[in-house]
Amino acid sequence: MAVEYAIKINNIIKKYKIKQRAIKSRYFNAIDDVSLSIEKGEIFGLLGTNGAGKTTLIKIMAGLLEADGGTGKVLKYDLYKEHKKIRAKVSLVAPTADVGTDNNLTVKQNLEFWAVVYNLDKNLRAQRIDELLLFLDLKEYEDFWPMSISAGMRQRLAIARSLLVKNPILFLDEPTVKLDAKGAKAVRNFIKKINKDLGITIILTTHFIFEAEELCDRVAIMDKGKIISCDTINNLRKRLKKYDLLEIECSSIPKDIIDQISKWDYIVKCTYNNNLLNIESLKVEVSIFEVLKLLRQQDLEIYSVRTKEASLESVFISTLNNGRNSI
Amino acid sequence: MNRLKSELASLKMFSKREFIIWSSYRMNAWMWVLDVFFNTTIFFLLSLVTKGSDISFFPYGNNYVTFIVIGLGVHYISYTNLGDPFARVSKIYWGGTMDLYLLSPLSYYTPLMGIMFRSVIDDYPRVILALLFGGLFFGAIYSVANIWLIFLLLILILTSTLGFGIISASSFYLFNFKQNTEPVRFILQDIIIALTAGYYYPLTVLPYPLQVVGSFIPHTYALDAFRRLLIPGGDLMARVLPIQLLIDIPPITLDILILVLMTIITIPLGLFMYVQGIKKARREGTLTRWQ
Repeated sequence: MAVEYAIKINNIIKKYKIKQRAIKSRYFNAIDDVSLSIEKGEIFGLLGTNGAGKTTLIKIMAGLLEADGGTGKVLKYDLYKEHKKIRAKVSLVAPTADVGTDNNLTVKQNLEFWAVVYNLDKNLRAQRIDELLLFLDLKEYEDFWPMSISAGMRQRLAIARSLLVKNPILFLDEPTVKLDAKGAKAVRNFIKKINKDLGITIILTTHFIFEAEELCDRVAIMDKGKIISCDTINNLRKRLKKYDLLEIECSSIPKDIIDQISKWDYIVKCTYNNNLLNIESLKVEVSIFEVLKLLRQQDLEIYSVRTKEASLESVFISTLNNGRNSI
Repeated sequence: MNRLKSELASLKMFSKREFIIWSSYRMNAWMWVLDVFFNTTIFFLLSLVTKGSDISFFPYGNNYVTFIVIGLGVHYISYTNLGDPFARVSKIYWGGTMDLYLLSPLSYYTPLMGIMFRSVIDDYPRVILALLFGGLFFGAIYSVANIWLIFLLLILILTSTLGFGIISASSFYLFNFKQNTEPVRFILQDIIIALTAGYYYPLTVLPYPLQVVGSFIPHTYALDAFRRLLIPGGDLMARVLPIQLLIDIPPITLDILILVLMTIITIPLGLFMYVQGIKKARREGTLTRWQ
């Protein structure tokens, strides 16, 4: 079956003018020859340090910023000629929930305001707002002022606002950047829920590597306006040979068992030396249980188990280093 | 038709939101009434300067309190319509909501008009209150000879000053004036209007070159017509303004025509410049600022 793309952009360039002195100014490439394809229904992460160009790129894809070069389509609409149609079909949540949230209106009044602005059918407004308040666990806070609820709840309110209209694409710009761990976790869970239950394509920017790891089907690593790597997290690890490690100290293992383990999914390499079984895996949290189960079935004695996860962080750093060296 | 309906529904929602916000601060209403009262008092005290003197306000009758209260009313409208659009666009920008409005099906103008409702609620009723306080406490007398003409003039001063206001607002994006001092508003409001609007004195007392400068602002014509119509003893036919001396048309008719002309020039020009400003900001990435 042919892959359906929500977004497909090619060789996008965006230059910003920087004033140096009163008259003199120079340009720098905020986005430098970026090509990207995002499938319908996926959670796609733009990962990069501050100033990498993530926000600029999502603003271009959302039709809020005109690119200086390249081509692209969002939901089959041309990035240049049909930017109004693109804007009507996408939703966006800014890094801070305060954008679009009026602290003088209650949670519900805020949603009522935006429901009219987004031209939601008059007969459906109340029902939709109720649905979203329930969906995002805000129902009991509907009469609260935004200032009197937590930052995480305010971020959920911003997400609720963006979901008032059932748009197929949702852009989240650093959705958890100003939240504490608990609030961030709740928002991440809702992002997964929105993607799973509503089938919305989500493009999020983040500089939290664990967030990308937890949420994203694929990530693009950006640096200085360029995409230096774009793939699934597992493929990125494979490419950079950054795997999780599993070390099991145990009694002698027959060779056929080692061969069997080597053929499993996620297992990249399996060796046995001096009572030490070394496994390189793409997902150690899956492999560990399967390997231990098999060793126990073989009545082998297990003395110790150690794991070392190759985080996306190490992949990210390696990718950045490789990217910078090649630029 | 549907589009217009949804734009109007949005404007109604904006006004509702602004009213909720305005009325949620109870002190606001009292402060508001007191502010108008003290402003009217100051203007009344100014009027005492002329008491017993033979200063002529020809052709605007002989009641200086009425003269000056009308000035205060036009000042309220002008200050709001000229200064507010820029401040509101600035608020949308610094609040980061311009992106969100652009992602809605609203026209570019609706959010601008919508958030101006705060001023409509806050400032326009001040005109009525000022006229009321003037009449109740300070001896202003009004002659309401032609209510429809007064109503028409009220609409024209609203629209013509709003046109200048939108031009001023468009400079936020079009010329990148992101700070408080914006040249269009500064030159108009703080220089030309402050000097030549004639809130406190008739334009005719100014040196002729300043009278000519004053001919380019709508206040001159609105005040001229309002004062002739509202102040007892106002002369409807005497020609005193530079342009009235040049064109042989009854003064109030000429005032209305000039205000219409200013409206049909400034409003379309302002709206055009505003859209160009947004397009420019979309190209340059300066539509909004997320903090």
